[in-house]
Amino acid sequence: MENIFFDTSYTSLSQMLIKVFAFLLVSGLLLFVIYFTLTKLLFRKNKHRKEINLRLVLLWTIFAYFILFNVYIFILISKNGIDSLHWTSAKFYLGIIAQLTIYIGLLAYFFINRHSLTKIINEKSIN
Amino acid sequence: MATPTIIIGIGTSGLYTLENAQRFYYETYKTNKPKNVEFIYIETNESNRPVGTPIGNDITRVYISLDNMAEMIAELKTSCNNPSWLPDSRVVLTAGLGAGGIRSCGRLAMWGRNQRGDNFGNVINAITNAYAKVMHVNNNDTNLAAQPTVFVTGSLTGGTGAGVFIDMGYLVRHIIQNIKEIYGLFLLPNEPKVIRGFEVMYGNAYGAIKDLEFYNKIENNYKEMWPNGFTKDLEVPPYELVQFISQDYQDGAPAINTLSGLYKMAGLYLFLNIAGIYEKRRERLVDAAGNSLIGKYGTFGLSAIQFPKDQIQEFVSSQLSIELLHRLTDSGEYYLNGQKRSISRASIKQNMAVAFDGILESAFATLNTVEARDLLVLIDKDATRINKGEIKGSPVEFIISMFTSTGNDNYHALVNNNIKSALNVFVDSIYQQVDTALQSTENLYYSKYVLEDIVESIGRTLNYWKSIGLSSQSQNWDNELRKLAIGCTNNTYKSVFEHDAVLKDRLNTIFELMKMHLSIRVLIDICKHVKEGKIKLEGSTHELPKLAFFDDLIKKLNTLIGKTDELENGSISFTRRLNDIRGDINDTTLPILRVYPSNSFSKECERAKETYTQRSGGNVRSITEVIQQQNILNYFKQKQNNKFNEEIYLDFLKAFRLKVDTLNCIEDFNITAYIRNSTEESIRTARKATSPFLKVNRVFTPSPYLPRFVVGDDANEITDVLSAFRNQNYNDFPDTIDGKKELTDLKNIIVFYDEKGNYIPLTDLSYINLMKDAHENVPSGLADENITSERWKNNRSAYTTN
Repeated sequence: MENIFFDTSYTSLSQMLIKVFAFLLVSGLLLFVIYFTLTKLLFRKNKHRKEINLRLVLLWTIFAYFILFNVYIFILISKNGIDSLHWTSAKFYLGIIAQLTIYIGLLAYFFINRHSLTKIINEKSIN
Repeated sequence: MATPTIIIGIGTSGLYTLENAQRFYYETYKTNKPKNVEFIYIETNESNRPVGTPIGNDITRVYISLDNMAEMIAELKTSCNNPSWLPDSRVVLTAGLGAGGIRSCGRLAMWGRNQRGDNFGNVINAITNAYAKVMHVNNNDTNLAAQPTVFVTGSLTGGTGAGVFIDMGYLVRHIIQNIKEIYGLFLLPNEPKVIRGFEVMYGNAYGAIKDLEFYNKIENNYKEMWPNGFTKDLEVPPYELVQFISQDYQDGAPAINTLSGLYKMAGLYLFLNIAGIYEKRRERLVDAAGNSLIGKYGTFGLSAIQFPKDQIQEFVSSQLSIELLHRLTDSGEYYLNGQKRSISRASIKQNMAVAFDGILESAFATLNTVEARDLLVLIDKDATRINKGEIKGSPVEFIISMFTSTGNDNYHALVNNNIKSALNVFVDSIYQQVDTALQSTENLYYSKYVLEDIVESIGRTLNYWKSIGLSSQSQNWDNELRKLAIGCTNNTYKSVFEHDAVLKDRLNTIFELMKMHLSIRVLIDICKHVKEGKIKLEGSTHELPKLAFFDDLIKKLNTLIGKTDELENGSISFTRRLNDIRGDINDTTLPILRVYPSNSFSKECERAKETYTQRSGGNVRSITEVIQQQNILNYFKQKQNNKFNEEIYLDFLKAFRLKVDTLNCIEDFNITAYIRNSTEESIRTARKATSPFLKVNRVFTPSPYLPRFVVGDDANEITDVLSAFRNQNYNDFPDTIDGKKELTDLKNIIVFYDEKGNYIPLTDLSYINLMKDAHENVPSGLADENITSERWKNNRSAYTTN
């Protein structure tokens, strides 16, 4: 298990796919837990529409998870040592493709959600 | 002995004379008339109304309508045995306003009856009531005379006065049986420099004098069958004594420059009579009649030395009224808590946008409850039922059925039936905003901008609603509703157990959108009402104000201060009144010498205004000085009628006059002291009274039997005045008991009075031949070919006296 989350070397394609799937699963699970918790804690007395509040909570959730993920990245680097980061090696990128997917995916998810929230509260919308 | 007195004014001149008499009385006694006196005014011109003093008006108006003259003639022909004086039905069609200068039309007005009322009956009732009032005013007063004295006044140049004055005399004799003291005071035109263009005036006056002379002869009887059924065959003349006055002195020199000056002198004469000189005159006149020194016709001369306290008061009050009107109609600045500020349109717009949001919120909140049912609670319950699956059919269809315009008992129907309550909130709140703005700023432009900017906010709101796809159309709403209902069932947030809250929220949003859809029509109507005035919208207590109301109000108030481009001839205005007062004060032909402590009218006015500013607590005028705590908007709304300008003018003037008076801004002035210091000038004024206001060829020899005296507030001071005159060898006014009349309340004026009689106007009036010519011959070159010589003469005649 530790190999999946803290090993940055590339061994095989199947291993890499398992690793990506595991990261997506854990991230999804953590995001849901954080989101669920925050929906019960944030904006309870806010007079905005409920749906807008929930979408705002989702953005906060992504942000919170992003912080946690960065902490994880820090631990990953410190555990493997700075010398293990071979920025010029293609194999290195194959080894950290799961982390990269989550990192980029989180950013993309955040901005997509932000855009849809902006659309909802846009004055031309009646939703 | 208090003499019960009725003074009857006929026509517009009669009204002006009565107004002056009332005014002089108010200036002296601070009431409009004593209790033993009644003023009646009879008029054919509907638009003329008496102008009161600061404490109101005590002239009773009797309007004798000339509507449907042809029908009135037809009725009189049958009910009065076809009197020969009746005007030709074709002539009356050209009479125009009032009696149109046609004497028989004036007479017809008094005799006739139409849908507006029974004129003859109304006149009789008015005189009967006045008679009852003056005789019963003080039943315990043993000093009250048994018979009243009646004065009839008016001019003989128009149709009304010259038409009814003889009937009026006999009518008074009919109502007050055995009356002896009935007098006429009639105004004649002065000697004409050019008669062309004034033939009607002179012709009417000649006809009237001729008719009067006819009935004054004992061999001629007044034979008429009146519309009230009485047949009269009277030997007595209509009046015991008729006094004629004009703008001329006896030698033809101009005595009084303006017609208003003549009304003033006639008013002063009547005022002096009711104030107390009548008893003194009567003593003399009885003796004069016994010695054949007076006859049936009289005239008089009158002059005075006066500190014009009343004119100063009116001038200052007019200036103060103008200042207040400027404040109300200032388009650039307003006062708030005594501070002058610029009207910032941007700031008003911003405030009104916020205010309208609040109004909208309140209006929508009223739609949440229908018949004590809270619709929001019901919607929440419905949301829970949908999520629990306790509904029939699909959630989308259920949601549509809740809000569709086609439902009869759904939320749409409930709110739609309750939309009037939202309208009430809109109207009442907008009214409140405008009203508060007007009450606090007393500026009509500011209040208008408030209304205009609220409407602009409504417009912006409607545009926004339109941009999000809302409209007042039901079909459009139902289409939008379907999209919203589908949206409600997507992404329900059930995973985080927020599906109930989200659905409730979404249904509430649809409910709010439905309120907007239903309010669009209401808001459009409000805009139409305010901007175009096409429809009338009322809230629970007030009608919504309109922009046109403010525009109209500002325009009318601007007219009152002369701030208008339009030429509104004859319309009442403070600037015009200021000019009139200045004209009156500077009129050197009026036999009244105006004197001042500071030797200047302007300085007296400035001083009075300064005193007012100090004593009233500031130099910013407020409408509370006029209407006290009354609501400004209500006040102006109540005044929105045909007589707006007149009523506002009078309200403002009366209020400020009363305050100037109460705050004692103008002190009395001792006239006797002035006379002692300026005796020569005073003698010149006194001498003017010895020439009557009528150009007659006869020489009037002074007689001790005829009234000639000086009137003042203190007999000793009059003696001082006469003594000062004697020292300058001026002895026209004797220092005897008969030569003095003390009226203790008559402050700020000394009057010189001299009465003449024993002449026949038909022969002695120096320009009687010109008048006769105007009466008998149609003027050459008249454009109207209908006026034949016979018709002209008929129009100048009203009694069968040939």
